[in-house]
Amino acid sequence: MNPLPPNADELVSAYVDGQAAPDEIVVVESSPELMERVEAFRTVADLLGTPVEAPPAQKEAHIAAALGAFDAKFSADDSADDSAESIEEPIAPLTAVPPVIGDQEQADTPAAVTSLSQARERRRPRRFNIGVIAAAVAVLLFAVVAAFGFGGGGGDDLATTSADTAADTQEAAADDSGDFANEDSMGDDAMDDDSDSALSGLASAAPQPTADADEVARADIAEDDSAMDEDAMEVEEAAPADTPQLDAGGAAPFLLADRGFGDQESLLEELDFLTAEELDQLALQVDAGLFPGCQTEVAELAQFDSPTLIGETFIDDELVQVHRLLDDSGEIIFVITDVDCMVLP
Amino acid sequence: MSADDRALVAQAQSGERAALDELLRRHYDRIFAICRRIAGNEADAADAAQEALMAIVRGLPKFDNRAAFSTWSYRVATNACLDELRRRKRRPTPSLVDEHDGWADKHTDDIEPAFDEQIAVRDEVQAALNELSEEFREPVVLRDCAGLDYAEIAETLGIPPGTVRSRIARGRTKLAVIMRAGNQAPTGERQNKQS
Repeated sequence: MNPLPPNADELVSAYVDGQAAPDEIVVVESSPELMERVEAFRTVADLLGTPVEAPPAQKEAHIAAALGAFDAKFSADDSADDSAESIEEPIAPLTAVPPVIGDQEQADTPAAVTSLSQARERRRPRRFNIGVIAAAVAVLLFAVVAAFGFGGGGGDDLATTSADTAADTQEAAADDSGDFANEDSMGDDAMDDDSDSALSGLASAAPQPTADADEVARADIAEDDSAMDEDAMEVEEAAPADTPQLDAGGAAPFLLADRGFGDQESLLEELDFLTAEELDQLALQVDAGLFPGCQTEVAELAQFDSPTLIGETFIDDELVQVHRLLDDSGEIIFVITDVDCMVLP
Repeated sequence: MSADDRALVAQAQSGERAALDELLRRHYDRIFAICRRIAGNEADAADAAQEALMAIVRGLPKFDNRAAFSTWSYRVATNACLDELRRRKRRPTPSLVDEHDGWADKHTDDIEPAFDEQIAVRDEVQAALNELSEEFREPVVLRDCAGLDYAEIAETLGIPPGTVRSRIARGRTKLAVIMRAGNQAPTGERQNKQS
């Protein structure tokens, strides 16, 4: 009996999907063991393909809500003559739909739909200026010292201050911080040889540069990070306990991940406190494959081979991705809606 | 069907409500199936499906037919599901259990002895899916539920086709192990041994 090829499951899976190369087909069909796996995989695929029927009332309600949004869009266009813009105000039709299932959280749902236009109205393009960042940090430190009478630190340069702040925040966070750059966050025995295991632990250890001016915020970050770690453990139980985890959405619990902002201005103000080096660090800790596609959807970002994503957060309950790129004109931040990858103006 | 979709998209983009209605009805079941499989329970799937439809309506004016409408809409649905999952993890919830499959969110040790015979096969499959991490669940669902090919899945998830192939294989391997361990589904190996 010939030994199985090292990528046997991959060959079998591709064979089942009709996506195997001719030479791979020969390998699979010449091996009884592999053909047994083919049957097993087909069983799995068939079971997964079992139709999932939506409750008819739910289907009708959802479609009615979407059509209501559509109506609102086109009635607004009739008066505003602005058909190039996407639909922003589907609020009334959506909230008018009664819950069709017994979900205690239904009431939370419409918020994400209603917020986009409001957030966009407040957004504007921003570029980072290191001088502004330095000035802001200095003012912030002065305010903290003046308000609380804390000693020391006033003569620190910006980099030292940021590093200290990051260290403070990490201490306040869960004990799983550390050097994640070379760690594999999955730790799944069956998948140790995953070629795309760049699921490196990301930046839960990333700098939290503004927290020293806001003790409450710092406590929130620490609490949230711990909560996210617990959540991640539920998702992937096989992972080592001391390894930082991805959350269910594939995003890492890094700087912005578990925080929300009322508007884009607040988010950008938060980012203003990060040094260029800290932003570099965030970007380096993100694996592009973990995030569905927005970098490839946005022309300005798609030209970059390395991940431009530096974080995800909520603006007025709308999940957004924060991308950063450097070009000849300097540093540019893109805030992009997570659902449809639209760059916010 | 794709050509029909394209015509309906054009009509919907020009404001024809009936065209949008037809598009949504045509694709709703698959969108919901994707949401159901990814989200893991009915409640989150319903939220995600609703979000997906709203995102489709929002994005329709800018949809340029570079991809098939189905591919694009499944991508929107996938992202809506991920969004919903992220929100769910940020909300304090008393329980993630719903009447059919919430048990799958608990430890797998609970599965076998408590399994009710009335639970359908689809729920067993969902339970196994729920044990996969997102990175493996998404491509498997897009392949086996949405019927997308590897290139379409790669486009949808923004990952290389080779990674799609690898993740689908690993996801299926793990699903087969889970199902076999739980005696939930016969594998080819078992069938052959029994015959």
